[in-house]
Amino acid sequence: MLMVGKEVPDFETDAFFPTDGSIDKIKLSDYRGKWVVLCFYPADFTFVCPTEINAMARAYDELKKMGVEVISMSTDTVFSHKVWHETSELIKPVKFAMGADPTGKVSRLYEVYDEESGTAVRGRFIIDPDGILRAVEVLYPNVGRNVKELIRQIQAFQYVREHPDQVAPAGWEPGKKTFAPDIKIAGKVYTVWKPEE
Amino acid sequence: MPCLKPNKNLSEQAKSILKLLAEVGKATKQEIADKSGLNTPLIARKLRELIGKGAVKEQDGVFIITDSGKEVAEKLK
Repeated sequence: MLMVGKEVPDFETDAFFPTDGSIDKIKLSDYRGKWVVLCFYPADFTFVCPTEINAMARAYDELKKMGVEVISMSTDTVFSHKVWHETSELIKPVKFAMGADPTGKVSRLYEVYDEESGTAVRGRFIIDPDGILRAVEVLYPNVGRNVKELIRQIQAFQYVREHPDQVAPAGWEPGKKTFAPDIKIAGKVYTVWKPEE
Repeated sequence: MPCLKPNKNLSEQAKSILKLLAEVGKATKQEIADKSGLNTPLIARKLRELIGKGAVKEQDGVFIITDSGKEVAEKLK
């Protein structure tokens, strides 16, 4: 299993770039210095997938402002991505790179490849500017992911990156309390954090 | 890539990076980003395109226009 806190494996594959309609190589390490959300999904022209990709597309401007780039990835080809983008109302708003992994090489590298179906499951990876994996979420294909929770997690990771002496407690959101982990509060975390705070 | 004829032409962004390199001779990815306003992942892609076409070479993170790159840049004027 890919481990959080470790460097993610690099990859290079074809991608469709909706902003100019081009097809080009995409290399993960080109994104060093930026936060990256790498988002695997099973297949173009299916059912839950367009709802998820649309949700990411609607959140994309907010993510860009946070210094986050998005790369979607499925085992479809770039040609499929292009036509999906051109023809599906839910996919037309997509501006981020749509990676193509028809051999399953990248999906296997990230351990989200389903050998039986030949597709990737819903794996989402939050990668920090140093290429370190910070969070993974993998869902069975019949349930979509929650972009609000994705944004919350990135905000929390960005906060603790800027404030390395702090930790973000459960459900933390910007403006809410963080605290410094210290042996003095072991067993007494309630003294510095209350569920309602 | 199946059934796709390789594109021999440079993309518009690659052309603009090549023109910039023709002016300054060599630059890092970040310097190109600062001067061009393009984002660094895009610049990295386009530099690979230029390297693949022999117009640019890399040395320790610095991208240098080659003689053939200079010729192409001259034609782009």
